[in-house]
Amino acid sequence: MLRTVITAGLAGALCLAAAMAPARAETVLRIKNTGDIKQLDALFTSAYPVRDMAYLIYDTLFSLDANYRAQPQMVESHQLSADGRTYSFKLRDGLTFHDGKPVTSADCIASIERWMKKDSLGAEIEKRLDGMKAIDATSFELRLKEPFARVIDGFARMTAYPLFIMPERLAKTPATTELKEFVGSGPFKLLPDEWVPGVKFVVAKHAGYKPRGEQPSALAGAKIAGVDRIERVQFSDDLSAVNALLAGEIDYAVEIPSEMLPVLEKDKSIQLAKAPILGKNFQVVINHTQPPMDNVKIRQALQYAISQSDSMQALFGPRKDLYQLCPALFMCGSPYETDIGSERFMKQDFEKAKALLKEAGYDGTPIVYLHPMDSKAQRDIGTVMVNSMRKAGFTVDDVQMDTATMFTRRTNKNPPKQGGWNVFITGFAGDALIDPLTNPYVTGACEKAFIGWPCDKPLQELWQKFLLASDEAARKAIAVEMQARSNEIVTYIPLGQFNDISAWRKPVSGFVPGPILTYWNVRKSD
Amino acid sequence: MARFLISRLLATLPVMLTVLVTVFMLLHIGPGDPAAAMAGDNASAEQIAQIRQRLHLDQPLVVQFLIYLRQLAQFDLGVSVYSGRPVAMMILQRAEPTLMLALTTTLMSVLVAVPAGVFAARRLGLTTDYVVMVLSVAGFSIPVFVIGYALMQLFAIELGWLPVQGYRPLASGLWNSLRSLVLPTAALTLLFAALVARITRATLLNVLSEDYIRTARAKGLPENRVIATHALKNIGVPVVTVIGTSFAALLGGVVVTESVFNLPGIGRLTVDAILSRDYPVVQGVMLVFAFVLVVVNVLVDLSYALFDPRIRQGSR
Amino acid sequence: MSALPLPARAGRSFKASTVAITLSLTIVAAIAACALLAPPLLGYSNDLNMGEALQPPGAAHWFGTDNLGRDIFVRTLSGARTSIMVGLGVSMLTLVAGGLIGLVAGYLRMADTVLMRIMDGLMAIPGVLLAIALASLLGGGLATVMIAISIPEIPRTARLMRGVVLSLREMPYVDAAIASGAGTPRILLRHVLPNATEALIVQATFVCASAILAEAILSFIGVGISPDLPSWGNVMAGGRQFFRAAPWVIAFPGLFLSLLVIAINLLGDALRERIDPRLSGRRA
Repeated sequence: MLRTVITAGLAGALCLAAAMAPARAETVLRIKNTGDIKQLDALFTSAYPVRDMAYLIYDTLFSLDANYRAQPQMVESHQLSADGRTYSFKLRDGLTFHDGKPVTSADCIASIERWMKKDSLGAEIEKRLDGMKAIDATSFELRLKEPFARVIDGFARMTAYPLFIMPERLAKTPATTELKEFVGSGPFKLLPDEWVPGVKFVVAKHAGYKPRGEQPSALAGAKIAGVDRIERVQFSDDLSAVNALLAGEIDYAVEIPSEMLPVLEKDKSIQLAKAPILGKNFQVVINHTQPPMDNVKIRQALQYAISQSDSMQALFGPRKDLYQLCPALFMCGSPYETDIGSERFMKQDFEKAKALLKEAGYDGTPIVYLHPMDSKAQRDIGTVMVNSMRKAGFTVDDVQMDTATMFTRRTNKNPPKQGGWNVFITGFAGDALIDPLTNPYVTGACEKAFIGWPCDKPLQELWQKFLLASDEAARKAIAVEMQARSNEIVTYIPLGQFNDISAWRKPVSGFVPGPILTYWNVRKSD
Repeated sequence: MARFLISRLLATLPVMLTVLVTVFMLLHIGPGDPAAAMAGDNASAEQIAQIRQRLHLDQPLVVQFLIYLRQLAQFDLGVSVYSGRPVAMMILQRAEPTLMLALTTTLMSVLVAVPAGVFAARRLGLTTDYVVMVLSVAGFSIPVFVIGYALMQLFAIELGWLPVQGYRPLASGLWNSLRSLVLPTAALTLLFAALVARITRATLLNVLSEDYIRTARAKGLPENRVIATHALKNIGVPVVTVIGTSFAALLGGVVVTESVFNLPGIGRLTVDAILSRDYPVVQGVMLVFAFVLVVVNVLVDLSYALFDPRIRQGSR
Repeated sequence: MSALPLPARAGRSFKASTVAITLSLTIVAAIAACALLAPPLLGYSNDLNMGEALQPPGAAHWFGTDNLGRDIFVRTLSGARTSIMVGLGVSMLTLVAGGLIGLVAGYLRMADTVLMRIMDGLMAIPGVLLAIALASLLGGGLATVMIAISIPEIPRTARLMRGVVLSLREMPYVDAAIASGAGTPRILLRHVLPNATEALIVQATFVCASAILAEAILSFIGVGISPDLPSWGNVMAGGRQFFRAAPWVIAFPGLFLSLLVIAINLLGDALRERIDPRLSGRRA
């Protein structure tokens, strides 16, 4: 009797428990990353936060794997004709946009057309383009006037600007008009009503997404939405973000001030690691058009003046594990890594700097340094920079400003006294620097070059050679030559390579190492 | 009454126009515009020029101003140059934390400061008066972010009683929302209450030297009765004035407090917009702030007029 | 409650205000001495010393060090110089500009309406926001920061000055001067200005105090003065991102700043009480 009662009771309790357990609570990953999502047309800004979020919403035809090789992503199979002039692509089955419509060849062609108007490699393809046409709903071909080995590289490109596929009706928007609606076929869809610039940006799992079967590798392979929602929360400063992480209000934060590490390390529920990305560095950018920096000897003196070690310590204090001193212009740990020609900036030497300045006849003309005060990293690394330059014998006009002013002033080609400039520091991430085609500094293209406008015939020729080279060994050899020449004329000086520190609460896992921080395989258990 | 109201409202028009011109000029004289910041690191000069053209930034200043005026005449504050969203909507989306913080701070300040001010005036020249006055000076002499960090360290980090940052919307429950406002309110109340207490004290001293109070005193009424029955009756209006006149200081404090405690309010919206040169947003917020300030002042005048017929007849 | 009758208390109040003036002047003088002496004796501590970064307060560094290894004690003392310079500079700018506008507005009926409407407009924009916008848009730096802080302060001073001028216009001796055919500039200089001095000095103390605070806020937001020239604001701003790990970077300059601003405000209060006891406690 008693036994029956107990059994019945137990059975009842189990039923109750089963009834009470919700189908499955919605999992929300709350993250903090630097920068606000103020706009979302990824062809209208090269800002990293926008690009990173766009990667969640949009899918790409190809993407780079951990070895920086292009792998098919939306594409099932592709072929190149024997004459090297016709590419044909077949899309995977079951690809759908967030509005429920299937992805078609027409969507891809329209997206490629809009992209070619904006992207530099896209422009190289367009120059050689004979035409594109849909073969059926899910296959299309691209014909070139001459063979060009960079088509797939272009489609897989991850930095300024990736080729994101969107519905034809949106892709038909002229490349001069910013998109207002953001519909993609990526693993997450935008919730436009919950996107409040300056507060948060929200995407939700796209139920219709069909991931690939391969293991994830960097941006390639399976993209499986591991959570139902991702909320990217905006903070007024890094301190608030760390406070929120410690209080359990967010799950993941990147770019944590290293000074806060001791506080985080005390909390057992927090996991700390270098961000699972390729890495970044800060770069000294030099205006090649204005005296005295138009003199190569004076630019070389600047190479001797800087100290990667001091710059890194300004950001990371005693945490030597968080950075490396790196001589490679195309990043350390990358396919084109080399230390050729980097001796001058790898060992700070004020005497040699002074000697070069003397040899160049430097007369103490003030070097105008643009120094943003509203970013901690820029403020501190700039303070170190100015300090070193003064010790090396430069006269420095340390012009403090906010970032927006810096962005405008650095485009000014006038002499420093009339609103121009000589030197500033900026931070392209590794995913751009790694490839001579996306590294903005090594084109030598004068007026058309990135700000600083280095003008150098040999570099231009090397760049063209690199563009057209079709096998990896040849590309590597040219990249080495490019670095040597670039260091010789001092296009830019890298200030040390680092990975931002990221921190997350223990139940979060599944970050895929790669050049860009992606969140699609990240899971959060209770 | 209606005539008084209309004349007061008409008088605000030139003020608003001045605000408009000032803010517009301010944004456009300095170096730096949103185009380069919007385009990002990799943008070419050509792309930046395109953006400038799209935003009419290449037009003469007068033309840009007229374009803006025409837009305002249609009650349109424009759209953010970045997100393309209507400025009015952006302000509304960010209004709740700011309004809540201003409300709780005003309430707390009145509750703390009016009694303190009365007390100080009552004990004019005595030690307690000086203590209250020195404390109030301290209140508006310490930077609000220093107070904010100190409170955060003590009550949120060491003691763990209150949320350390962030705002919970009213929709998540009143209690929840108020809890997230305790520390910001406390920081800001120290500043605001200090101002209110000083002005309450000064006003009361003024009232106390009025003839009818002297008469009451001469008739032998005890001092406490004098204050309770005669003086305090007349203090309500000045306190309203205080709140009106210190409102600008309050809004200034809100900006910094929102930054320290990471409240997604209008203050942070403004600072972000200034730093990213989102002109329409800066203009919109400044106009709205100025409008609120002007309306508050009209209301203050109105309450004066209601209480004091002399003003209503326009002898002021 | 055995309150003293008011006249007797006024006597006490006079004595107390003397104490207040002495005390606050002492504090101001002590900090001013730091401002004058610290930089030549100790330097600005702009020397970076990465090995000594983020040391807590101790024997080697009394107030600790910041994340670049700079000594907070030295930077706090030498920061006094910049902060006092901002305070004085802004008071001067405000007095001159606001005083002139008020003078003209009070004396010339024609200019009055226009000028005062403009002042009303400026006052309708929250001062802190206006200063942040100005400093950000004009670019940082000591001079810009001073201008940015001055502009929102000008209207109040102009109003004050205008009020003084209006009341003086009614005075018989000004009438007499006008009747005797004295020119406007002469009347303003000889008769009006001297009588406005007291009120302006009191106003200047309050402007000075609020300017020092405003500089701290601007630096905190990131539109202030370069760290090359330490000010209390930028030293504190440097510690903002890691306050929780190294509170001393904000605490010590914050303490000094608060002390100085309190002293200046008390001084202003006491001075005002001397001039007009009835007005004490009301900020212009």
